[in-house]
Amino acid sequence: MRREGPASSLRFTIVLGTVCALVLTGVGRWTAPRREAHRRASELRGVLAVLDLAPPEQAGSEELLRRFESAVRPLPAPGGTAYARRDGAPLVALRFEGAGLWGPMRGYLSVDRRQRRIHRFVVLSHEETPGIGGKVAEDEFAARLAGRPLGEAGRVFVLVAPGTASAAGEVDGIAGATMSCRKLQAMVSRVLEVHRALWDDRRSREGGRR
Amino acid sequence: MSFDWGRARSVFVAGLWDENPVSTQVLGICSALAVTTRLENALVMTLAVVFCCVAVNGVVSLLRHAMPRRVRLIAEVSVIATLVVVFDQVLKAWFPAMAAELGPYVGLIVTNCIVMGRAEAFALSHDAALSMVDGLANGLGYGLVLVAVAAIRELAGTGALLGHPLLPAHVWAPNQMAVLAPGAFFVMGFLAAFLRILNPKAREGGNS
Repeated sequence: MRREGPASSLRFTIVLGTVCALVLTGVGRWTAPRREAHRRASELRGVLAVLDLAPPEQAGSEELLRRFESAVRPLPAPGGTAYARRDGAPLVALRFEGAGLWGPMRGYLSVDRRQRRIHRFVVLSHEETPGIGGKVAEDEFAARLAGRPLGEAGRVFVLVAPGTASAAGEVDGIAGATMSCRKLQAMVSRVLEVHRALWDDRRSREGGRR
Repeated sequence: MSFDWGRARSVFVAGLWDENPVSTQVLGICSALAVTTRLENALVMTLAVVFCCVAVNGVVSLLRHAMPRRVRLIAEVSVIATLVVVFDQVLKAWFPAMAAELGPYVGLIVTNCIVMGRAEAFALSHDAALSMVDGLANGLGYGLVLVAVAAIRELAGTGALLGHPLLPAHVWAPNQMAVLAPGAFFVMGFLAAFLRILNPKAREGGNS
């Protein structure tokens, strides 16, 4: 190792920093198209999954896009984040996004307009602790939410201690992941309230009669 | 200059077993505890740490004669952070499912004591080839403990391994403690003690 003055240290640091920055920029630009393609594909998969139109696991991006365009139509919503099936099924897909406990979380949920229930739920990306908070993204937790009735206040569900859920609006929480579950609960409640006009047929009919 | 295979073998065995970074040197404990809730997470994390250890040791060794002493730690962290981000970006681009599984823990390799520790203790004073062997050995040694702990925790905590149920419910009631943080400490502690009993030559602070 070299023993030299501040000037050589500064020179070395600048050169190393520049090289590192160039490497990171190069790799970032090189991988950006693929990462964006994966992100877009996961969005399409999410919408198709919650609308019961899920393609085979190995379906490529072209097939995903073809199926999406043929079977799904966008709904008028801020940011274009709501979809419905073209065949008239009473399902509305809504995109939720927000801050989880450790980072951003996003996904889709679908609402059955006729039964006023959550139909399906999928988390597309999150940064929760794998195996603990990350369980909110697993099929088991999604199954707990499926079929939950939606209350008048738009409150989706009440989190209770694992194994104690009894009422229709109660959902077993995840031991060790209370904060992650609550963050998700807030995100889902918010998106349902914002897009209430898209899924609350009862309120729409009452508004028409007034 | 010819490659000294005998020396390389002793460096490899030291990093993998005699001076195992987790059980003997007690390095990299944070991620070792955090990602061992599932065996598949531990396997992918092992791959990431092996890559980073090998690459960082190689780069730091190649730069060791040009690196001023007063900025060596900054330089090492810069190299580590760059390589970790490169690995993370490539993982997200080509293996998105795997990247999603690991979540934030790939990025946290930057703070893994093993990577910085081996760069400082070995790569700065040895040639690139031997340094990369040391990086490989320490990465695999880390993985060895990770996989063992993860297998125990997942099996005890869920009755399954790699997601496949192995212990029926009437035989084993899943132990939630094994999946949570305290259980990680218990399993890690007992495993480290067991490995030291198995290997009396294990010694802390030994620089190969």
